[in-house]
Order: sequence, then C-alpha cells, then structure tokens
Amino acid sequence: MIEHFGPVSPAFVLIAAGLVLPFFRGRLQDALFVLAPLLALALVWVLPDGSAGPVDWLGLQLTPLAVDGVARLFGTAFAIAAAVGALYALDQKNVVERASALVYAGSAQGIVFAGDLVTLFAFWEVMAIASTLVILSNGAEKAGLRYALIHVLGGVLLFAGIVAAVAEGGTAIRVMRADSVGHWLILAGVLVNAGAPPLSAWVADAYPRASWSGTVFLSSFTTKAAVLVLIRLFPGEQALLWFGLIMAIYGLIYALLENDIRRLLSYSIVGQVGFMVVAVGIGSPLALAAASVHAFAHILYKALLMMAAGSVMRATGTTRLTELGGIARSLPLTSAAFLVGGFALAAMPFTAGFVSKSAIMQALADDKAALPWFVLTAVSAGSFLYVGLKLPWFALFRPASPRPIILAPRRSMQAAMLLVCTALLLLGCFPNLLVAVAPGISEVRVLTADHILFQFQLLAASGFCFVLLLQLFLPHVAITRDTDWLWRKLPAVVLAKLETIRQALQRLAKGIRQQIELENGGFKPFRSRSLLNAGNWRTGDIALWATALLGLFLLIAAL
Amino acid sequence: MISRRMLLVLVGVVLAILVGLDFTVEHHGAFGIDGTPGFAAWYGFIGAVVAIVLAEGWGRIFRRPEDQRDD
Repeated sequence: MIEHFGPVSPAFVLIAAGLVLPFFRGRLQDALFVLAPLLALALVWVLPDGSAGPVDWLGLQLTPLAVDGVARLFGTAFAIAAAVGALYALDQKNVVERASALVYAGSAQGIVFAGDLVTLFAFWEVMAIASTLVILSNGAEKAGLRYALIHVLGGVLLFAGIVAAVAEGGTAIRVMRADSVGHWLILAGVLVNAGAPPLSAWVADAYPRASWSGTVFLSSFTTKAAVLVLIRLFPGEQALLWFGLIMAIYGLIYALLENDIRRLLSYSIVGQVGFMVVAVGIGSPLALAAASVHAFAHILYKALLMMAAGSVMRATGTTRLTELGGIARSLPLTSAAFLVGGFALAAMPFTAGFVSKSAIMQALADDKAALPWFVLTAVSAGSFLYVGLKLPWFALFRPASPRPIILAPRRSMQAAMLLVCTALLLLGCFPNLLVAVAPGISEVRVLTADHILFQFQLLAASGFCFVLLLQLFLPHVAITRDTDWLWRKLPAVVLAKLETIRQALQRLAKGIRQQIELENGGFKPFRSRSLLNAGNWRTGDIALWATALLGLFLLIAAL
Repeated sequence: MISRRMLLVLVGVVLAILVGLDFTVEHHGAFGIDGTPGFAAWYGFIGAVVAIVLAEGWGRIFRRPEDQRDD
C-alpha cells in the first residue's frame, strides 16, 4: 500500500514523532521535539505540486496528499509555528503536552494537504483530540472537557455534512454554496472551529487554561485550519461576510474589556480570524490570497504575543493587567516581543501585519464592498487600542512597583521570540518575500506614501483617543459574560428551576396521598406495589438482551 | 515623567503633522471619501471612540465578578 501514498506527508512525520516522543528522554526528546517540525517544513517545500493517489479505501476515493500554493503557504506557517513553539517550549518538561502538541501540529498539516473530504474529516478529529490533550495536560479538566464537547459538536456537524456531500458528489474537495442542509452542516462545523458566533466563547474559555507554552500551539492551528477549509469549500459565500464582521466586532469589544492578557489575546484571535472570514466571503482571487497571507502573518504575530504572555506568566505568576505594570525593565525582550507582535496585529507599517491587512483592505476596495471596508477600518483603529496601547501601557510601562521575577525567561524562549520578531519585521520591510509565497497579492500597493500615511494617521488618531480617554481603559478585576453562559450557567439555572417545580409537585402529591389515605380509612394504597411486580425486569437486563439479539441477528445476516 | 496633558499635546502634534503631510501625496481612494486628505485621522478617531464607547456600554451590562475563572 505504501507506494500508493507516494511522497511522505508532513502530517505523518509530525504525528509519528508525537507518538514516539514519550519513549525518548532528555536531550534526545528535546531534539525530536524541535527537529520534527523542521523536517515537516522541509517536506512542505520539497513536495511537488499535484496530488498523490487516489487510494481506494472501503469504496471511497481518498487523496491523502494534495499540494498547491495555498497548501504550501498554510503548511509553511503551521510548520514554522510548530518549530518556534517547540523551541520556546524546551523548558516545558510535560511529556503529554509535548507529544500532543506534535500530533496537533501534524493534524493541522493533514488538513492543509488533504485532497478529499474524508481525509479532511479524519485529521479534523485528530486535531480535536490532540488539542484537547494539550489543555488537559495542564490539569484543566473541566475546561478541557468543555473544549472537547464543543469540538465534538463541531465534528458531528461536519461529519453529517460530509456524509451528505459525499452521497451527492463524491469525496472530492470542491467549491460549495450554502444552499442545502448538507452544505450548511459543513459550513457550521467549520465555523465552530473558526470561533464564529454563537459558540465563539470557547476560544477565550479554553486557550488560557493551557500551560505557558501550550497556548502558543493552540493559538496557531485550529482557527487558521478552519480558515483554510473555508477558502477551499466556501469562497465567495455571502453568509461569511456577516459572520466575519460580527467576529471582528465581537473580538474587538471583548478584547477591550478583558483584564487577563491571554484571554485578551484569545478574543483578539476571533477578531482577526473575522478579517479572514470576511475576505473569504468576498471570494475574489485577491481576497482569497489576502485571507491566506493574513492567516500566515497572524499565526506569526499571535504566536509571538502568546509566547510573550507565557513568558510573563512563567516569570511573575500572573497575566492580569491589574496585577502587572512596570515589567518592561525586568523583562526587556519579552516587552519588545509584546510591542512587535502588537504593532504587527495593529498593521503598523513595516511589519508583516501591514502587508496582509493592506491586501485584505484592497480586496474589499476592489470589490466595492463599502460596508465591510468601513467597518474593518474602524475595527483596525480599535484593535490598536487594546494590543498596541492598553496591553503595553498597563502591563509594561505603567508606573508601578513591578512584581518580582520568579523564573527568568530561558535562552530558548528568548531565541524563539527573537526569531519571530525578526521574521515579522523582515516580512514587513520586504513585502516581496510574502509575495513570493503568495503571488496572488502581487498587485497590492503596500509601501506607498499615501498608504503608509493613511495607516499612521489611523494609529495616531487611535493613540490620541487612548490618551484622551485613559480612564475608560482601566482594567477591572472582572470578566465579561460571554455566550459560554448558555452552556455553563444556563443549565444550572434551568435545573434549579426544575428542582423547585419538582418539590412543589411533591408537596402537592403528598397532600393528595394523605387525602386518599384518609378516605380509605387510613390504609395505604397497596395496589401500586403489586403492579410493580409486573415490571421486575431491570432496564440493564433488557438492554443486554436486546444487544445480544441484535448481535445474533447481525451474525446470521453476515453468514 | 511627562504628564498626560503633555502626552496628549505631543500625540496631537504628531497627528497634525501626519494630516499636513497627507495633503502632499496623491490618493487612490476607492469610495471617494477615503481618498480625501486627513480621512484616516478623523475616521480613525471616531472609530476608536465608538469602539471604546461600545465596549464600555457592553461591559456595564455584562461585566461580572470573576466567579467562573478557576474551574
């Protein structure tokens, strides 16, 4: 069978490495942890365009490996994120987290290079399991369970949709419209992973529960893999425009209100993925290329920001803005990482984020999509408020007696942050580097005088607003109620209500029973007990026998 | 340490210089108004104010004490 698979997929390299990693110790394990993503990166680039296969499996035509430009772009971003994430996490000795992070990274590559819907779904589920393990490895059992449940739900929606799509037109990955129940199910399943409403709260609920190093992996793969699948399956889908706009506004508002840096950055993921989803909704070749490039840049700067946040958490024991302040002096490199990452997110000229966001805005302008353009321009100004001003001011520069440093950042952590900082600035100063991997954005005017001035004015105006209204930005020791209230608090409220109703009914029944006893001259109604004897088969026994009969029937049918 | 008022003036001056420079370059607006000099300055300011007002309003309604954090 091996020869059918042809060249080795980066996915299998990473998953295999993750599975054997627990059997190694010490330096050897460290080496495997960092080298496997680098090998995957090399594979992403040496694999020839085109697809291997198809392989016939249970009557389904499968193409486990299909390579094209978009796949290579996402594959590169995922491999880089895994490599720097692993380098950063060298001081993380939790084997479960390390192994599941590699499998997680592998599943992301699997989705990128999947050539059919069934392979896509298989890796989708591996991704859900591996990412849950990254959260669980930090001991966050309840949060891990909630995360798993959301992704099981998304997986079930996707599975049902794929079954319908395969029945309708085979396993091939193809452009769809949200015009049938099956297609809507696929769209819904993918949007769950993208962090779209109404389930968007899972991102900020789950990601900050992972360890200081685990969150770096989590922030990179799941949502961006969903963006890639949207590019493949639903380019130009009108509904995505609205989903994306809501995500951008939701992410902005919740990030502005948030006190915990890692939760703030998680909300910001949803906001930035919103930009990509809007671009996919536009669907022009430029818009799709722009969405891919923005995903690429976003993976880099969000990984950097999460690394900086993890470094602060490891060093001071907290990531709450209310408890931080003045740490720029004690953690200079981490602070620089916050600034570079934040500026890239806010699309400051000469950072990678400026290239990718310019591409998205030009795609909207070319398409004459006025509403998304004006909304997203305003959101851009707003996102500088939380990531470029609020976060650095309250965590790094605000005059305060800084918390003592418990664990100084390791060399490996600093190296990882420095690498990504350099990459973001290089890509920003030389946009042609990004054009080389995404030729679709070659027409975009990036470093032109009017465009640079436009962005600097936007950011300076945002800064003016920040200084003017500083009081409104003061962080509060609080959280903002999110949609996860629906599945975390509402059931308890409903159950409490049901319990009071049950007690009321019980009191009522007791009254009636006493009334009956009184009427029967004080005798208990014993008839009911004799009735119970008719039902002396326990439910478990019935289920067992039913299963046995079914099994027997299956055996007979198979013979 | 510079005061907030001084910082505000400083940022204001930077913004004014940027707007001034914006009159000297050729614009490629797609919707008309976005190609006018200084558009990004006033639109960015309004966008940022609207964002913070929306967030503040939303926070007043939905902000809760930290009771869900540690499970």
